[in-house]
Amino acid sequence: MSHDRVPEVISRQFEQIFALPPNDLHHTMLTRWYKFLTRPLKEKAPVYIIFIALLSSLGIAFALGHVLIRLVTLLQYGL
Amino acid sequence: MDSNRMLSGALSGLLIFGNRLVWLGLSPYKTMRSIHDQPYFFFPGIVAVLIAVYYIVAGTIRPYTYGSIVPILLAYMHVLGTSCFFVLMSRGSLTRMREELMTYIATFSMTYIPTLIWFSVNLLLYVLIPPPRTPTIWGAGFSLIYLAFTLSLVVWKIILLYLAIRFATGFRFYRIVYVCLVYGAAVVPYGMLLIQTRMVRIPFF
Repeated sequence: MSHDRVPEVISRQFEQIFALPPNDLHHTMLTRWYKFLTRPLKEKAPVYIIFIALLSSLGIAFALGHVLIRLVTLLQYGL
Repeated sequence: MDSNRMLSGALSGLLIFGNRLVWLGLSPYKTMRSIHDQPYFFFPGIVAVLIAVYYIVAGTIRPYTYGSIVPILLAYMHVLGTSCFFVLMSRGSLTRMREELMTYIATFSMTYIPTLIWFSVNLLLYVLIPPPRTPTIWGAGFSLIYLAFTLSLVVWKIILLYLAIRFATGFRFYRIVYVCLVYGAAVVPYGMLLIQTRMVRIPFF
């Protein structure tokens, strides 16, 4: 990287940092939890998306039982 | 010479779109941010073509009550309406917001990608393994995998929509939840109406 481009790159990164106000949930604990939960989604989103989806689908399957098959038929066939 | 330039332009555009599409799955946060910060105004055009191709193909396999043109126009109106809604929520007015509206459309049109993927896979499965599902081990196994796939796309879609709202409007968490509730209050009855009138088979958001 040439020396002329360094200020440009830094200013772009600063612009990105200050373009959005940081998320504040008006409660220290809530803000901390929000940041704790969203950080992995920023870095390794697909892993967490698949994990959440698998866990939720197992939960739904467990809760619905045979109704799950009817639900899937409805989703696949439409109304 | 001009046709060569047009062809290379179109191919490079498709490559950029494909690249963003892959990264939208791998790293939604960074990709949505770059889509909003450096918007390509041909992205909504490509999404529009993909929507049209999907509904035309789906219409030939399983005809729509009013033809394929109705769901195509409804999908376009949906993307446009969503963008206008969030511009209004953010700025309070649509006047002199043409350029900003284009950025919103470029950002929000990308949130339609999970819907399109789900519709396309659904259509493919409809042809390969037609419903209804049976309460056998194979039927239950398929249902579980199908539900996991559907939920992963729903979660992805929610993340993309959240990021689109966050980057486009600059809203914070509570305000995003609030505008989403207002948006849902408008869109859910609209989706129900579309199903009642048999314009679509599955509501799309």
